[in-house]
Amino acid sequence: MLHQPPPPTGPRASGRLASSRLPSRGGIQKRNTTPARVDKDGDLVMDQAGITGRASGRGRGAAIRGSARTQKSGTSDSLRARTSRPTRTGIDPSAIQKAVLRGMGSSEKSPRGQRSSLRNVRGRGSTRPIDEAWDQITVQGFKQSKAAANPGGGISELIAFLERKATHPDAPETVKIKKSRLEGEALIISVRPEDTPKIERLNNFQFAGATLGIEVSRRKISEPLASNADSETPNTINVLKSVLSRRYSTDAKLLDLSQLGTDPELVNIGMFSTTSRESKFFPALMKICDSIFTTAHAKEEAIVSVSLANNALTTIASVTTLSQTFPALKNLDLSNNQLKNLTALEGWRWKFRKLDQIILTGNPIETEVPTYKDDIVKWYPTLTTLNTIQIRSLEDARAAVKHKLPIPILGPSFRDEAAISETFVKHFFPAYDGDRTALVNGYYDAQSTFSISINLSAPHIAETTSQKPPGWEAYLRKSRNLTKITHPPSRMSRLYTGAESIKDGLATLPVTRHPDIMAEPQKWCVECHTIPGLPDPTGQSSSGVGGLMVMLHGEFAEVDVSTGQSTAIRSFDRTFVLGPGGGVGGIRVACDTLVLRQYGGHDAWRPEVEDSASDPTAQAHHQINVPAGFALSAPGKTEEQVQKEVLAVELSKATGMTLEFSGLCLEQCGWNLEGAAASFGQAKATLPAEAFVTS
Amino acid sequence: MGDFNAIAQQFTEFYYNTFDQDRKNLAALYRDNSMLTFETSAIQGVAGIIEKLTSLPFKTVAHKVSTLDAQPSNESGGILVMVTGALLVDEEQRPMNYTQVFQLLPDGSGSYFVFNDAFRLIY
Repeated sequence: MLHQPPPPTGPRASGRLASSRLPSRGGIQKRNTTPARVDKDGDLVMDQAGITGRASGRGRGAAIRGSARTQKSGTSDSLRARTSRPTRTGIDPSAIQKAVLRGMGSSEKSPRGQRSSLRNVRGRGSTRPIDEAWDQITVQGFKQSKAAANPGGGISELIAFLERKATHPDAPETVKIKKSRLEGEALIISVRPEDTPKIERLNNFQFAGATLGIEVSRRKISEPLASNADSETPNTINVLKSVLSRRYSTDAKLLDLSQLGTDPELVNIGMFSTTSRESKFFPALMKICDSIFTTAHAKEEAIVSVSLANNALTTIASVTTLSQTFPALKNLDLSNNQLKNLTALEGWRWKFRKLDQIILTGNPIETEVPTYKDDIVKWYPTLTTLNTIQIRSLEDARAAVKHKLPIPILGPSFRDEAAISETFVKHFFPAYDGDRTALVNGYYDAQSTFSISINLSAPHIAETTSQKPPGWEAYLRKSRNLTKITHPPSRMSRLYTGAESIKDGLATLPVTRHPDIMAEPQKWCVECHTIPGLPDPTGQSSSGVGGLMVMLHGEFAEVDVSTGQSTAIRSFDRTFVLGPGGGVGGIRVACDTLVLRQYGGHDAWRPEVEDSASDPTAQAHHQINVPAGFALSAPGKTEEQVQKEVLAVELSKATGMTLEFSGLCLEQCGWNLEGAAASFGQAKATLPAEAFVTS
Repeated sequence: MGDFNAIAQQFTEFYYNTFDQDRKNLAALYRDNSMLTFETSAIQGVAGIIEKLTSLPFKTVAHKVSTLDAQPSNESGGILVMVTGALLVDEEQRPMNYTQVFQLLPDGSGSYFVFNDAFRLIY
């Protein structure tokens, strides 16, 4: 339903509408390919203009169209001539087309589906018989009139003039111009056939000091419309398909849409002879691409690169549908066009989220907006290559995507006092996973509060499997999200106050397993601050006592008690207020707020490393098989030897080298880990395969 | 103590509206013993806090609160407020998630001030 026009409310209504729009249309005439024009002029569909030949003599494209096919009877001949043309150069388009369809991973496509989809693109064809009933008339010469200097180019004045002059004073009905559109120097108007002679009479009339030339485009009204659509639509589709197949390289996964304007096959069918056809061409082409691929994945697989070089594009408006059809495009060539500024590219800002390379050389933007590269890099965060020059590595680009936050991610701020929080956190979560009742008894008292809320809108890691994310049934009735829970009794009943109430609340939550904070510290983000002025439950200190606020972010698995299997993994944020008290370690939990959300991984708090490449420890750790006893002290082993083994394990983990090679490398560097890592970096490429641990 | 929820909610709305409109005006919410922890930088005192907030590297920001939870934090009327939500800055289209914890204390004249404010981006 791309270009379905609104249904006409009647010939008169649409006539008025058309003429009332005229001034603005005149104003945009130079831009030729604005999408709005496609819709407005949708009745001038490709096939009609092409096949029926009624457009002959219509502006600048007349000669090409005329030679391509002027009569209905000539259609099949010219079609044959056209399809045979590439054969002369040794290429069989149908074979290529089959090949490309194979290459694109498409097997059987319903021709009906394609046809109807193109018909949507083309516009009305047989769906708007009323359009078929209109005659098209070319009006020329008005550009020399005084009115041409008016706002809107004098078009509205011209239309009013024609309507006025064509209407006989005694006629019951006035002549109305249904539609009009500019093509170069000419204005193409549509009128009812009975009005055609009346307009034709106006040939050589004087309009604001200029002589009008009026020419009627004769057409075969008697032509059966159905056969028109049936014979023409597949033809246009076939031409476009042939173009696609000819311009598709299976090996390079490249769709080369450069220099479309001189493509003989497209020129032959008059694709660029009128602005309205031209503006429909690219969306139609994309529509066909869409119909060829069944899934986005297939499309992504088949077409990695698109070239739109040498197309004289002043803006991407006419080809903007590319970003809808190929959103995952990696390489885009826009070189040698007429793109002047970033506005001309604006439509593709934030599009092509996987774009790796873009070429903009040979565009005026290079000289007119010298800083355009900075913006382009910002627009396409995954971009590594601009104008065939590498601007950053893939890793940097990835890092940039991740680190595009305006506020840099920093490490946790942990300001503990006497390791109170540290001890608490280390003890709390294993106990929480084990025996919550004992835990509550140990830390919470009658004044403690606990509540839980669920954040359903937090970003999360995309599901890798089709498995549905775990539901929240077990938590929903307890969720105390005050933005959602507004009823005061519900708010209060969901706040657990006192150890007994908290025990009951926690007991009904699913059994959990938190990752071991010592073994997997990267999965945790723990922050701690001191807060003075906590009330002293013993009442001894009237000014309050010092406390700690502990904020944790992490994840846990829900565990099925009967099987011990993890059933779901979730992320959480949790804040404790700790104060001195009678619990374990002399502390009490004053407040405990827990927020749960869908699993979001733990990259969120990984600090941004300035240069991860130079820091071997920041790289992924390699799995090293450490022999039993290695790097551990044992009777008869010197402390120095243990230290060396520890270093070797470290280096192996960082580099992936075997322990033996790590030892050799360290020995050469005087057992300096950093030096060894650096020399590994230099020698990496020259090292033999056996230097590395086989994974 | 039933109204701490309402206070927390009013506060949160007011805080983020003010933050999103002109964060200088947040000065009214802090006192000289107030503490802000923004990621890792810890600041005490209203002047330093406002300086920190206004120096954040974005011009426009919009907060969207996803969860809000509040508990009374002490008998003298303190309120612990935990907020998780998303913020959109400048032209960035992807929201960044954050958690923010406030401790509100009564200032003696019937209103509250922010005693503790700990902010952290989580995505």
